[in-house]
Amino acid sequence: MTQVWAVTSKKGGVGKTTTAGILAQGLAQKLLNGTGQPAGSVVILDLDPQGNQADYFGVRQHVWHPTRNPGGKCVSDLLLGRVRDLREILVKLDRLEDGLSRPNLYLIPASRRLEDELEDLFLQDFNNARRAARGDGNGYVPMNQLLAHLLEPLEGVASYIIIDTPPQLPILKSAVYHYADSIVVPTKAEDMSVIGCIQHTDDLATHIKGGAKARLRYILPTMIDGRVASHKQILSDLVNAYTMERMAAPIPSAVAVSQSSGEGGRTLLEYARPDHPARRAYQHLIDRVYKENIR
Amino acid sequence: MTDDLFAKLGQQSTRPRKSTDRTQELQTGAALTATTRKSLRAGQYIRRQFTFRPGQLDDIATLARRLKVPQADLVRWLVDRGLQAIQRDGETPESIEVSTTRLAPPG
Repeated sequence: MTQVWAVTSKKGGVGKTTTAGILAQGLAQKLLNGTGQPAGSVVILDLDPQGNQADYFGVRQHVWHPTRNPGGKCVSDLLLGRVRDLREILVKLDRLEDGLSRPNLYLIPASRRLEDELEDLFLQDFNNARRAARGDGNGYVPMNQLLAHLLEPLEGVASYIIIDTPPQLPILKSAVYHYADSIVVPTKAEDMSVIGCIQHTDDLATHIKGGAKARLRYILPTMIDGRVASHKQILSDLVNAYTMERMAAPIPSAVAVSQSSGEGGRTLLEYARPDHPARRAYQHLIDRVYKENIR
Repeated sequence: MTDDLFAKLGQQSTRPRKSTDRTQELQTGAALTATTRKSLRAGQYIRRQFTFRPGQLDDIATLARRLKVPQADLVRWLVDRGLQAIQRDGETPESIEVSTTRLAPPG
């Protein structure tokens, strides 16, 4: 069965993109079974109009750009029904020619066109809902079921789908919460970030009461400096608020995390040495997610 | 060596996606009205007066223009969506706290 994880947070700059990318790649590596033979594949769904997953994996050349690549790919083509086959929108992240082997990792990329076309998505739902209200709603898919509907061909085909989200998801929020099985919420150990984290998880809880499928699985403290007293205090507060079972190992603040993508589109797992503290912390999260048995 | 995700997807039959063509939808009501010479809305709505913030009215007007739908249709739809969100998703209305500061008297 396909497991769907979403990395979400209302706060920007807390490490959502990095976490989603590393989690996806780590799970894909787990599926290689140590033999190099893929036992499954992982798809990253980028819903952030900044489209940074493509940058993180060094495949920006495949993504839509108004002048440089007008025929490129963008998730908005999928959301607005302009592609009939998911293969038209999937980007292989394997870059063997650059020495970066990612044989079972794929991306549905985003671009700023997603932001431009959110109104079209809004209009599509508007018109389809009106048709449905008039009894002419043949095939109408409510917005909260949109992702489940569009990505249904991946069910049982991909092992994991990892969703990267922007801080604000005004139209697609309920679609993510109704499609994802589990949610990871990264947060920095700063007062404002923690407040944002609590607001975010309260919002998620409200959606769950309303029937959303997603469950808060991990709070992931990021950019932690063990020498800073306030970081230790906030970590302690997070444990009290969310319980140890929901806490992932804190990701230490490290230059390598932000530096890796600038080094030829390499991820932390490809850039940092295996015993690098940040890489080990992320590996801990990957191991826990891999061991999860959701369904 | 790559995982055969593309091959697996290729084995599935493609199914038609819902149409995004909005032209027909927008023209149907007008065409019916022109044909029947009778408002399709007669007796379906009740007039009430509510006040909006200026920014909200601007947003509604801009969006309605862009979407090429009547402002009233848009407002009704927004209300429906809001009510659905409360009933289905448990969302609650956002309240905006307005704080005022009184100027201290001179001197």
